[in-house]
Amino acid sequence: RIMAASNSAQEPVAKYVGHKVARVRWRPTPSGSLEEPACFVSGSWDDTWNRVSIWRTGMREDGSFAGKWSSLAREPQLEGEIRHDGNVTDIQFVDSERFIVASSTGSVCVMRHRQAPQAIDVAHFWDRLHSCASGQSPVACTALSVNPPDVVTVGEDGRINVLRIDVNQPLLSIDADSLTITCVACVRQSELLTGSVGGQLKLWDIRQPTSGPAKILMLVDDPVALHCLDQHPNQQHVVATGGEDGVLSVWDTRQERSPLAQREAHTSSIWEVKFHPACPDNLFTCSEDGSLWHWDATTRLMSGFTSTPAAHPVGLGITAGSGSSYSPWLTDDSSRSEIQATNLLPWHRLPVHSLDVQMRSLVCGTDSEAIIVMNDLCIR
Amino acid sequence: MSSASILLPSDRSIRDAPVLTVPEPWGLMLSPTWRGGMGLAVHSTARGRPTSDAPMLRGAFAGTKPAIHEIAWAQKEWNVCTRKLANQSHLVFMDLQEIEPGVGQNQSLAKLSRRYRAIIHACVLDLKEAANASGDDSLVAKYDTQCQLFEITELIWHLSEILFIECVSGSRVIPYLLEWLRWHKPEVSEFAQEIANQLAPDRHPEYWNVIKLLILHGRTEEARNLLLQHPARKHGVYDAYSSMDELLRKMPLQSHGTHSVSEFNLRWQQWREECLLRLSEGQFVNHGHLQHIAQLLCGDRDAFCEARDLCGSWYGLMVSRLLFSDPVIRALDLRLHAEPSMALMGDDVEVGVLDNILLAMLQYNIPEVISLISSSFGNWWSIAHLADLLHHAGQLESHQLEYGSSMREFLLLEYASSLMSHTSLWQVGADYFLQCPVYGKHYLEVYLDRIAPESDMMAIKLLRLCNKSGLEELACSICKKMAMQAKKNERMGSALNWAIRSKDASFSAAIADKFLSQYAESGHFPCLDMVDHLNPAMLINDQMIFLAKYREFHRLYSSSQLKDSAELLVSLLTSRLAPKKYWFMLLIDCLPLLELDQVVFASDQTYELLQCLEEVEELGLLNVSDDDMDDVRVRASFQLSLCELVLSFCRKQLMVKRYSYFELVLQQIWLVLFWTTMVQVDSLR
Repeated sequence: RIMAASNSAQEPVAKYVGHKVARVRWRPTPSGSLEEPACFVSGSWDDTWNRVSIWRTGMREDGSFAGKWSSLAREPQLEGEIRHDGNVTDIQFVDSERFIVASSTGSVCVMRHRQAPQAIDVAHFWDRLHSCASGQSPVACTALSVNPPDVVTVGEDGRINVLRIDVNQPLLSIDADSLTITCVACVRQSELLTGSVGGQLKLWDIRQPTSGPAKILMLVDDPVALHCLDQHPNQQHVVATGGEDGVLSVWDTRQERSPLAQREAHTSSIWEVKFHPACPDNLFTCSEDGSLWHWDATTRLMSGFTSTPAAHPVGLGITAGSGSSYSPWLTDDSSRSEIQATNLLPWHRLPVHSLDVQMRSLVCGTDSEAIIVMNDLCIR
Repeated sequence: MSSASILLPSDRSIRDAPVLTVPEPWGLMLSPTWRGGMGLAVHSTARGRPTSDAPMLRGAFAGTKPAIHEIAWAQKEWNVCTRKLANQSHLVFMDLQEIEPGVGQNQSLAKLSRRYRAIIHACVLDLKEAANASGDDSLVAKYDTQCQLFEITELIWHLSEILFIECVSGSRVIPYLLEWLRWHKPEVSEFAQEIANQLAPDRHPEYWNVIKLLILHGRTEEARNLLLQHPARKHGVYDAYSSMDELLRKMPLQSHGTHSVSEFNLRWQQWREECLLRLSEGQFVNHGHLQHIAQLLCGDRDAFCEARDLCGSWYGLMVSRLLFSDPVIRALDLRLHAEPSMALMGDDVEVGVLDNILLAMLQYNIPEVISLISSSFGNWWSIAHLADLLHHAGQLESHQLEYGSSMREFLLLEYASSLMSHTSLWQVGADYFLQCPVYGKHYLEVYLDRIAPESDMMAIKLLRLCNKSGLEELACSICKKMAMQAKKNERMGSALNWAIRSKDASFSAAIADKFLSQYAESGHFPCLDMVDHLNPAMLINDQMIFLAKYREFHRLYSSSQLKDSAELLVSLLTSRLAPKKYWFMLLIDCLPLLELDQVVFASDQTYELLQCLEEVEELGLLNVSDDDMDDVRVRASFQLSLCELVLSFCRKQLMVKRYSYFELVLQQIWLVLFWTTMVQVDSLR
């Protein structure tokens, strides 16, 4: 069932920042804390000069808003920014202070958010991690994943670099793909998952870098490019990816080859996919078509729920096992209730390029030069 | 250093066009090329055309290379505030395009028009805040100019909304116009608030002025409240103040269409007679300000003349005067009152562009309005959006241009072009082009073609736009650019992927060929992860099919499906799918299969192989010339003959098979013996 209405109690706040936003990331709150995040980082792309900025939402610690209850008072406030060479292609936090920024110039840097006075500075810089075979011209670093103290970067040169923060040379470089690698995730301590333009997911064991990928999973019939992936926070084998055709695929990395469930919602490239870190039965995707979808699988978990006919007959119909490994994402039983999907930005038109979600707060960055914050998400 | 100058287009006239000096050592003659929108590419053409001082220049700048200069103007028009305006208005614009004509259309148009105004208003506030926050004087001046411009835009927009959308039926227009005045003179409310909060309001220097302005804007309730606070007013005594209070209280107000015209007229006439009576009785003679107010209430010309500075503008004066002389006037009749009001303001007041625009609007002369705004505003935002709105309201239909397409399209094209001149606003610009039915697609194609897809992500965004707008050719060209870029970067996998997407058969064939030659040289397939998973849609030419099939042969062979692999190999040769230059390579691949104990080739297949072999020799693909004693070639030719031998033996072997098993065994032994000798000879070489 697809509903085109906002499920947020409050209207989303859009802050127009004057540059297209490539990435937004909440600053992590201390683990175990129930606080809503109040601070996030954004990175821009496709401008005369690009920047990395740090923002604070208008919300106070007790959950109320500073100032009047107007949308202006709820707008995020800029706390500091720094010029960035090239398009920002990815940002990931290491801890509550440091984050790593990937650039279209093939370089990657560690940035630090200083508190007083508010500012951002560069703590470490790796130049030209990704470049063409002759090493002459740099190519874009497309994504990175953090597994402290290591950082993994991938790029348009099809290479995986394993870095250690504060060490200049990469610990390891693997020529992993003949096509552009678009996304990466550290799935286990020494295992990486990369997604490529060729529609392939490759599982790598970095303890055996020379022996090739441990496993290749792929879209069989029509290998469209994968743009993004996210791992289920509790079930390590469940991975969601977004493709160029706007199809959300959910994979079981224990199984062979193809995804277990595929759902069409977007009409164009999915740029980012995110499981809710605390309530992973909620999933979010944002797309080139200008929409941001909230996928809610909680109704699936309730037994005896009134069945609704499926809007789209999707997936390959493999039933998952019961017990702890049961995941609503891996099944497609249209006999029971369908996963609910809601477009959170029904009014929006230009591409939504990035999103991040924590607690009941969601932030997304768009090509319409806006950062949109939603505070009262309905998470079940 | 010699340099050359360029005259840049100006928003006013050619006389005050800014001049830009290009530091160009070769700059004896500059040749500009239009880059579309607000940009030029300029290069010097003096090179190769020796003039009297050119040799000297050449000596002086021998080390410098001629350069291409990119020149862009009006880039500073874009800042955080105006970019916000562009992005927000894009949303409204797109919503507007989806409005269905029919019942309630004007209501939805008015709603959208108000959204536009809210965006302009927010932009004005943002610009004010930015000007306050900025320490740079030149920047502050820039913000201030833009701010004024958008304030004027807001004023014009609001009036257009009233005249062309809300009051098209020719209904009573005064209530709307009063709201217009109130909205664009917010300082009146601020003053009223300030005065009301004082202990002695009447001491405030603006006390009476504010009361009069409130009355002139039809805000009698607020005026009465202020009047109530005057110390001269006594409770329980019916004096001039009470009389004025009563008049103001009784003044009939027309809220949007609650009474019929005739009913209102009747009440208004009665009220006016009452005013005239009290004035003639001399009730207010001893109170100068009250007397003036009473005269205003009666619509007295001289009183209004006195109040002209208070009104501040001829249009303010006009609306206020009409409120007290002809409150049920219809929008179409406003034009009759415009010029008399201007005359009332005095002869020494200069008529500016804004006055002319408002005048043209009151006269419903839309082409004049458009022409005035486009020539004087220096940005296309205002007029393009306004014209589009008017077009949807059906007010622009009759204005066809002699050149190009409709007025709306012409203006939208200009605005979209100005967006495209900016580095980052091309996605917004594209949507505007797509709303131009005649030239939009063509313009979009030209502009998109000039955007360099720097990364895969950017290319994908451009491709999506092309798909959305049906620009297939451009999509192919973008893919080709990406393929070339990847090829330059030696990323052959990516190059092949993009080449396939570009649907350029010869390009992908060339890259597939590169893969094969790389295999022929090194014995290793490049980009196996890709070649192994070529799907049917990717096999767009013979080379690609051959590449895929040949790789399949290797897979079959290594998985010991020998019979299948042999069959595939022969079919590659016999179907003529394999390019001739790889035939020899394929024949070599036959060797290990021939060498096997088990017979994998059928007799007719062996014939085919022999035929191919002969053809290879005939074609002279493996000629060994004396002066080119290339080691590889010699080996190759040796291998060839070897191959031939083995093949012929095999053939025999098969023929023999029909006769005697014993002989076959003999032959095989013979063959193996021969083979080993040859290999020894080979290694000796």
